[in-house]
This record gives sequence, structure tokens and C-alpha cells, in this order.
Amino acid sequence: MCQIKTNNVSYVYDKKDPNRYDALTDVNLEIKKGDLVCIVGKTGSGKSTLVQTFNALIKPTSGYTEVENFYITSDKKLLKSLLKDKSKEIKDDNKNISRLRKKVGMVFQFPEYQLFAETILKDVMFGPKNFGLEEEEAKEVAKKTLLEVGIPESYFEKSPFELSGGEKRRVAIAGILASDPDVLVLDEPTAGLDPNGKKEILNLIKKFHEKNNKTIIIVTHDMDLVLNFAKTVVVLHDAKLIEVTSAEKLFNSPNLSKYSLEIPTLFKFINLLKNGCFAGNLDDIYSFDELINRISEVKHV
Amino acid sequence: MSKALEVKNLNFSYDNTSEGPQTLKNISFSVEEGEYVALVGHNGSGKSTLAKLLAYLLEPTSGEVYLNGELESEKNIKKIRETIGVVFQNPDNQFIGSTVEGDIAFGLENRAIPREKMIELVHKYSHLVGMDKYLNKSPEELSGGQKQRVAIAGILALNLKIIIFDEATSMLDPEGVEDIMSLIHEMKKEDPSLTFISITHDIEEAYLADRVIILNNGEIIDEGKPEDVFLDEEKITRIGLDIPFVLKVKNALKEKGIEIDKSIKTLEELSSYLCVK
Amino acid sequence: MSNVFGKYTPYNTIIHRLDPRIKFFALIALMVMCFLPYGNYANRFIVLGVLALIIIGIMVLAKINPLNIFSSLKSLWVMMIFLLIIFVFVQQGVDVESLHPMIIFPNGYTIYWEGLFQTLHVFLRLILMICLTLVLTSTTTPMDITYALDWYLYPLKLIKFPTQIVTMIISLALRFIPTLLDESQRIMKAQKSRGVDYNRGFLSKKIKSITTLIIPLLVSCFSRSVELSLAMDARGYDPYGTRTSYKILKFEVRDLISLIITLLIMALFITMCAYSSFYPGADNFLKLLFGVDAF
Repeated sequence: MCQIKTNNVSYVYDKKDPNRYDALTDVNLEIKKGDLVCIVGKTGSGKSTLVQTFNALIKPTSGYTEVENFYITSDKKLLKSLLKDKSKEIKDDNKNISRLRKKVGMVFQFPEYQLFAETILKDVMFGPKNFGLEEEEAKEVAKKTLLEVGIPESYFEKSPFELSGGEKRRVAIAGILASDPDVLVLDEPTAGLDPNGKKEILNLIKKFHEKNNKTIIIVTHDMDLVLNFAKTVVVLHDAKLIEVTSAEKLFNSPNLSKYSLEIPTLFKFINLLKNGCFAGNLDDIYSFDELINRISEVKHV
Repeated sequence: MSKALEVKNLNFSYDNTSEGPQTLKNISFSVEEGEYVALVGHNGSGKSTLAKLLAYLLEPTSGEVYLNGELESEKNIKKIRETIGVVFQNPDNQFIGSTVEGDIAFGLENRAIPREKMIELVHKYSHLVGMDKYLNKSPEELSGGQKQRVAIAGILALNLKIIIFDEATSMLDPEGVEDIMSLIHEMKKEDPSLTFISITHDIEEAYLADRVIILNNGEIIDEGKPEDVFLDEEKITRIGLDIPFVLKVKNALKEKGIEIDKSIKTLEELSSYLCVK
Repeated sequence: MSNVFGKYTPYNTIIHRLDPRIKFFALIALMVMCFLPYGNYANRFIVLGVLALIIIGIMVLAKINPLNIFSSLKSLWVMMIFLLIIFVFVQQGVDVESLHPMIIFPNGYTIYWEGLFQTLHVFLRLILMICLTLVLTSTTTPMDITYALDWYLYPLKLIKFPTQIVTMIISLALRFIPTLLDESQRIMKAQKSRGVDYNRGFLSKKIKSITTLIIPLLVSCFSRSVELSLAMDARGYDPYGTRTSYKILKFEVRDLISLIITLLIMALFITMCAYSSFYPGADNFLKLLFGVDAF
């Protein structure tokens, strides 16, 4: 089932300005429920703008984004015609942006910059409370989520500013997870973390995805993350949608450098071996272990 | 070769006592002139604090740092500033001027260099780092990688001999990282007497260094050539780091009974080695 | 990427090219002209009208759309209404006899024309001041403003006042405004995603919403300032040391011409001011010019 759909979405910054530029041009994309999508593209390709239309932080200047029964566009006429034949319930929903924001949870780059409350627990409770939970319910949910992201109970009453960088990020992500969104969008979730911190965050996202088959959308530069994680890869370049593909196909296609995408080290190595006329077939290799097995097969003959 | 920096029994704690939590414990090492040393460790291992101590931006709780054989102290601070430059992590927070040229000139202004000379230096070094077309741009118009290039130009223009990269690439996108890494190699070629100290958790970057020092919880736990210190995969993973890809392949193949010659260090060497036989 | 009203825009107009010292001087001069006493309300409005024309002319030259000020600064309207309430409903004249009643309520409470005029007068001055500042900030780089300021502070140097520290602080503040604006926008988006609505809600809820922006912003400001001071220290900045300056300001013919024009404008307005105060009998410009009698 299709959960998010963009219909000819375009976005222009500073329409009247001399330095106006197009952040998105006619993007048509469908994201299925329960998918694990990575959106890639170099800095300025429009990927952050695109995902921000999913919870109406940015409204397309033309075209519209559809998230289940929500229609997101800055074109009022278009919105009216879209809602014309819809039931009253849907019409009311569209007036209430906070329902949409609860549905689509958004974790920004360096989310630790959004922490503000005096205790960790209160900070995580903040989202659920805004979305209508009572104090006690919010507390329960927050406690549960914090434990899930690996923050022990003894930390709950501490100030979020006392934590280390990796812990802060986990608390900030818990603040979004606690609202129990149907779709979780993350912008560069591992930026600036050391290898261990990266692993922790990725495991946490994976767990959330698998537990309830939630849709995950990750905006990233990290191709190793894409390789190990994505079911679907969306490539953006110069404000346009280039292709929707799988990680395996993407890294074996020659287009990678054309879109200024980094090649994961594994594929760099496979390409080197291929070019050096390695004595075995490497076309169906997609992981480190497979590669090692293939090399040892060839070498042991 | 002479010792550019020498650290002896360095201790540091942020509350300046020996009882509180020690950020750095009994650190001793030295760096030769012209060497490229990588200091690696997980976040919170104390490596950034160490960088600041080396440049005397912080004062050690106990122990000494010698710069070209001279003890670093408040007295010779001028000399330290004229020898060591630091490129910090956040490209925005070290961009002091309002334009590229203004920022490169900032350090020169501090040294009261005459204006004509300044203009000459700004042009020379902005060209060297490939930013000469952006002299009038303000920081908001530049990418992270470009801002770091400007910071490096500011250091080179001051003719500094030791450059410390304090996680200078950790906030950049892959393009920016590559940008800065290639610049480092160009500079090394240009002037072999430049000393580089790179504080990082990017293992592939550390693998390119002449020597690696591994920090864990404020202590040096290993030191040596990158191909040696990263060999013990289990130990490196335990302290929250990764090992370089080439060594990972070598280790995995070794387990399968395929020994690969120790002299092989790069991806290219490894692939041609595997292809030949 | 936000385009902030009043932010420096890199056009190449005559106003952009002027020496920042001249622009700075003209800004202060015209501001003072706005605030000189010109006698009664009719006079004041004529004077402000002339000033407004001059300022709009300058804005057009500098490629700034004067109408933008109303759409960009919505809080101006709130201010206007607030002023109106204060001036119309709060009696101000000492000498009630001399005021002109507009509406007289049955219970004797009177609203005077003067209240309305006062509001308009203050509001106009305010807008003119904002426009003037805007011309300066959108045609002059922050660094140039700082250089100009440094030049004007020169006399203080003679009494050993550390002017270079003051100008460094100002230039750093100006340098970081765009960075912090970007940052606050990012934080606001993150908090909106957590269900904060910055536009709706009553006062108590609004205060809560604002803290979700202010606290993270303060935290990041502190960490930025720590890093910034380290970076400055590392590059050998000594606030009391002797520094040279990379940029120098050049005074050209167009600057001289602008200076003369500014002085002429000043002379005109000072004459008007003097005229209205020293010849109380002839303090009515309208009458003087057209023979029409006003209040």
C-alpha cells in the first residue's frame, strides 16, 4: 500500500529574489507502507526539502504531497479541489496539521540541538503531550521509549545537557519515537558519531522498523549505511528525482559518480578486482562475507 | 630529524584537581618534524582535549609539552601561536571574518603584518587552497568543505609549521572530506617539513598517517604504524572503533587460510596481488 | 538559505558603493532630522513627508522595495494599534483647552484629534528610522559597518578606551546573525515536528513554545562562543595587541558629493526647525506656503 505520494512536487526558494533557486522540480515518488527507504544525493540536491514536505514543514510551491489522507501544498486552489469530494472527516483532518506531524515523525540532523527540558524524561514526554496524551500516559510512554533506546532509569531525572553526544542523540530520537509515528524520517542520523555511536543509532532504527513494520525514510550521504540498510534507494540530483532503485543495483551502475555519490569501499574494491581481471565472477557479490568466500573459493582451487 | 612536539606525563582534568574525573591520564609521546600522526579514539576519549593542550589553548593540570625543545608556557605563547595552527571541527565557529579574504587575513592582522604584504599573502594562499575565486563570499554562501579550506589557508598564510586537525572533517559531507584529505596530501608534497597531527575517529583517514596513536578513556593504549596497530581487530572493535577495510579483508582471508604479504597496504595493491596469482 | 529583510544584498548600486562612513553619517543625520521639533502637527507632517520622499528615493536607488517593510515586519501593525490605544485613550495634554476634540462621549469623556496625530507622528518616525537603518544594513557589508564605526570611535582611542574590542564584538555579532537565524529556523522546525505550534495558543502556551526555541538556541550560542574564542586564541588574537587592518576605506568624489548633499538636507531641515521655534507667529508652513490655515 502506498503511504506517501508526491505529485509533481516543486519547491522554489525566494521566488522574488535575485538568488532564487529551485530546490525541487517535478518530483513524483511513491513510498510504500513498511518500506525502508534511503534518499541519497549530494549536498543541495533537494533531499532535505523533499522530506520536509512529508510533514508540511515545507509546502510544495506547486504540486502536492499526499500522506494517507493528508494533502500538502501551498496552492490553496489545488487543495480545495483535492478536498472537494472527500468526507468531512478528511476535511477536518487536513485542517489539523498536528495530526499529520504525529503521523510523520521527523528527526533532524544533529537532533540533540532540540533538547530543552529540565529533565530527560520531561523532554521525551514533550512530544506525546503535545499530541494529546495525558501527563501519566506520556510518562509511561516516555519511560518505555527511553529504556528501548538504552537510556537507563537512573538517568531519567538528569538534565539532558549532562549527557555525552551519543546519549543526547538517543534521547532526542526517543523524543520522536515516543509519539509513536507511523512514518519515521531521519536526516543524517549518524553524522558526527564515532563507529560505535553509529552502530547504536542504526540498531535502534532497525528495531523500531522491525517491531511494528513502520516506514523508515533516511536521508544520508553514508553509502555504507545505504548498502547495509536500505530496501529502496531514491536518488536525487539537482532538484530532480533520478531513480528509485535498490542498493545493489545502484552500486553496480555506472551512474554513481555522475550524481557525485560516493562509492562504498566494498564496491570500490570489487571494481578494482574486476578491472584487474580477477579470476572469478564478482557480479553477484553484495556483501563483505560473500566477497571473502568468493576470493577464498578461487584461491583454493 | 628533530622532535617538533614532545609530551611528558601529561595529566588533565577540567576541574583542575587530581581528584576529579581525569580527562587525560599520564600521556607521553612525541612527534617528529614533518611527520603525519593520527590520534584516534572514540568520542569522549579525550582526544580533542589533547589537541587543545598541544596548542596551549588549555593548560595541563600536570606534566609538560615541549615545542621544538622548549617548554610551552604563558611566557612563550607568542612563539607557540607562530608555530602551531589548529583547524577545528565546526566550520562555522572558526570563520571569524565576514568574507573569505577577511578570514584569511584575520591571523595576519593579529600579527600586525603590513597591508601590502597581507594582500599578497591572502591572494597566494587562497589560490593554493583553491578559494581564490571566492574572496568576497560570506560564510553562508560556502559549503563546509570550502570553509575548512579557508581555515587552512589562514594557517598556511601565517607560515605555521605544525597543523593540528581537530576532527576537521567530521562535520563534512563525503565530498568535503575528500576535498580536505586531498588538500593535506598536496600540502605535504609541497612542503615536507610541515607536521600534521590529525585528531579523528575516521579510521580510513588514520590509516593514511605515518603513525597512529590510539587513545581510550584518556590513556594511550597503543602507538605505532597503522598497519600494526589496527591489526588486532577484536581489540580495536572493543574500544568502539573500526579497522581499515584493507586490514579487514586481510584478516578475513587469513581465517580462510590465505596469508597476504605484510607489505601490502592499499586497496590497489591488494587487488593487484589477488589478481596476479 | 532564508532571505532576511535588511540583510546585505550584493547589488552594485551607487548606494552600495558609497563609503560606509558617509552612509553612517547620513543615517545618523537623517535620523536626527526626523526628531527635531518643527512646531505644530501640520508642520511635522509636511517635514516628515519630505523626509519620507527623500528616503524612498534612496531606497529606490539602492534597489530596495519600500513596500516590503510592511509585509516583512508584521509586528509593526501591532505596534501601531498599541500606540493608537495609548495615545487616543490616555489624555496627554496638560492644557486640555488647546486640544481639538474628535468624539465627545455623553459622560464628558473626550477623544482628541491630537491623539490620532500623535500616533501617526510616532509611527511615521519609527518607519522612517527602520527604513534608514535598512538602507544601511542592506547596502553595506557588516565588516564595512564595523570599519566605519571604528573610524568614528577614533577620538575614544586618544583617551585609551579600547575601541578595537568594541568593534570586534560588534563585527562578530554581525557575522553570526545569519548563522544564528538559520539555526533558530532549524530548531523551530524540529520543535514543530514535536507538535509545537508557534502561532497559536494563549499566552502561557506561547511562553512555553518560545522556551523550546530559546533554550536550545542559548545552549548552542554558548558552545559556539567557546569554540569561537578558542579559534581566535589559536590564531593569535590579542585584544590589547597592535593589529593592522586588511581593509582600508577610500574616500572618493561620489562620497564627497553625497556628503555635501547630506549637509544641504540637514541645513534645510535645521532652518525649518529654527524658523518654527524662533518665529512663533509664523510657525505654520502650510500658511506660509499656501495661505491655508491649519490647527
